[in-house]
Amino acid sequence: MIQVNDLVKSFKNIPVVDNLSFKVHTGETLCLIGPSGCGKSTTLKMLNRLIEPDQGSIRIDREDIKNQDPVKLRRSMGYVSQQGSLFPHWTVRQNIGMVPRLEKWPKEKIFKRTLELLNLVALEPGEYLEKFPDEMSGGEQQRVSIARALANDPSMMLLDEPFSALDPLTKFQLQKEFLEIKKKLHKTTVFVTHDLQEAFLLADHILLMNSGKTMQYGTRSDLQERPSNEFVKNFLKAQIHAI
Amino acid sequence: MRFKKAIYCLIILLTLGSGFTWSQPPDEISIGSKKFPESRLLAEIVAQYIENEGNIKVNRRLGLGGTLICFEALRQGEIDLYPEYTGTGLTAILNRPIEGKESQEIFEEVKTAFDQKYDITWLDPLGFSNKYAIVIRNTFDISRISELNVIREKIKLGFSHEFLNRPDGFAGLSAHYGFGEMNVRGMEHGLVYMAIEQGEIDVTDAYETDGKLVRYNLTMLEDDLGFFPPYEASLVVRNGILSSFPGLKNKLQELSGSISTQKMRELNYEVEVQGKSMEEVARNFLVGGGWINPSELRVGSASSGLLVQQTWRHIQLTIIATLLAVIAGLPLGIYITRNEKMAGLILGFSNVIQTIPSLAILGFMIPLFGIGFKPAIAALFLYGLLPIIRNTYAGIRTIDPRLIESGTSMGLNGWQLLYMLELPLSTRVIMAGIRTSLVINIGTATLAAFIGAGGLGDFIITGITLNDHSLIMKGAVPAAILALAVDFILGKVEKRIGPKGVVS
Repeated sequence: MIQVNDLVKSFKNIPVVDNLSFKVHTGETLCLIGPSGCGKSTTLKMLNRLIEPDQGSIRIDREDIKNQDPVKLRRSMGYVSQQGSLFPHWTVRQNIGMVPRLEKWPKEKIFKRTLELLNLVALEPGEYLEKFPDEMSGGEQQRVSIARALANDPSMMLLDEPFSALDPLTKFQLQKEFLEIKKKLHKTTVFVTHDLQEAFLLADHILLMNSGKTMQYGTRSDLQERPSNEFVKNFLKAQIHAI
Repeated sequence: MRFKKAIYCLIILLTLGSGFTWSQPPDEISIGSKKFPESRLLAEIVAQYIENEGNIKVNRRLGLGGTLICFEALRQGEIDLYPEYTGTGLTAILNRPIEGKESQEIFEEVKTAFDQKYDITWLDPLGFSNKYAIVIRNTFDISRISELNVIREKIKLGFSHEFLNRPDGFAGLSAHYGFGEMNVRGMEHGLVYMAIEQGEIDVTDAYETDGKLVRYNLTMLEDDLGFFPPYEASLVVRNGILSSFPGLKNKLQELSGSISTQKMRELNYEVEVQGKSMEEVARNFLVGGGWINPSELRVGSASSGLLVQQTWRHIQLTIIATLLAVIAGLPLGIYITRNEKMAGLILGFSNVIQTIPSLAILGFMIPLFGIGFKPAIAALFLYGLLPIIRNTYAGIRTIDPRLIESGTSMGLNGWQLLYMLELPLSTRVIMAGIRTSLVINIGTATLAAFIGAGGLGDFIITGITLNDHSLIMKGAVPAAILALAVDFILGKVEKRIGPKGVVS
């Protein structure tokens, strides 16, 4: 379980995350959603200590992460960001095998794991193993990114708008596959998005943020049926109009 | 993996390079000279003389940049003797006034002072004085230096840099004669006669023994107010070498008084105008004067050696210097991507080095490293630093920050990020920096000949002093080919070792 308490982060005296508290239960997916600049990405980056908070605490299974070695912490959290984050000079096989190699797995085990993961993200190993990132479509690259994040079987997943640069069809395809994977693996997941449809589709709980603060925390039906304030109402209305 | 291979190659090359020996065996005598023909010829005469007398080996370090470089080299023990002039010793080295002093007086003064201050002996003069002289195109109808002031608005003066800058050179002359403002410029001494021939200048400085005076239509002006002090040629020798070779002093003293001003002018004429080789002229002089017996002739190797040797020397100079620049520049470049505050400072510093003229940098290195290979390497190293630091920094800084972020988020530490991501992705940019550095150094290394480091610059400098175009080409063409070849080859290497999957 991830427990975030009274998190504060300011850049140049402007608060970006302002007294934020939330929980992510083990095995569930939380979507952080909100308009640009609401602090959702900053929050995600504090979870794996890319950014250190000014105040507040983050506990994972009751242990404060500021006392943990950042490298170990990050290896326990698979990370997927926007398109273009695969290492361009490495093949699919090298990209997926990176963390296992660093953890000194035997070669055969890495290879077996790579095949397993490619199958999981619905890529034919024979065709993709030796491809470089720029030889693949955006959707294929993101599948590989997910496989790479899962390589050493981390207990958590952090995703930072992984599908936002994809065309709608590919995006929908990947969202469906993400749901499949989620059902299979039950990782504790934090997923940042600005797309309400995506959040409704993938999340167990949704945290709607604005100006670094919680606007509403709840399930899809909580938000739709019991919006807690005008901002939530307007945000839902605007997003649904956009579709 | 490709990157690793490249690093191994560099390390192997470096080890080969450092195997080069800088130390000198003690059983030989190093003879130096300044870069102008007379100094070289005298040194060559002494070299052949010593070689034919005994079992002493001679190491020729001819054509060093100037008085101070020769003197510094002598003091450091890089060379053991070289021909010097009494007037130069007094004014340029001891910084003492020369006005009104007689020949003998000057000689005694430098002899005593050098012995006490520097542990250096002045042998008895060789017999000729090579005073400065002022010469003018003979279309001007004057015969005395004081008359220059009268026609000063009609004449263009061009002097060698050394003459312009010495207290007993133009400044002193002008003050002594009370010249008004004149149109003066500095140029390489070897080029002044060509400048006169082409009408660029009308008046220049010369030496009384200058062989070229005969060939060009020049009048030597009489020093009617007696400004130029006598410059008697003599050998200056380290006391250390005189005690290592007990018979040497007497042997060298035998040459004293053997060359008259007229004789020296003739010898210079043979070299500079008739184009005979230094070796030949020196040998003929020694044989003709009965100093050496032609049947026992042993000919030493000339300093300017073979084209292949000098080219190889040139390659060694540039490659070793550039490798050192890589070894220092790469980590520095990486360091400043981690420490932005230092970036400005270090880039600024290496930029400043780049703006210092290369000859000046070579000069700065002499007090630290003496003359020859080491100071040249040090100077070229400093010169090669900037492109490598700058490209390493730029190469790493321009990597997409999302890649760094995703690498960090996957749990890579700083070192892993560096060798798995940052270095491979900036290989091409870094290699381009190394290529720039190497090509710059191939050009700059031609100047290293001024401080006795050899290389293709030897041909160029000798060619300039002798006004010999084919000799200049002999140095310049291989240097240019070398630069182009290195540029081409490293361009290929850049493509080969650049990471796959990345379109540059």
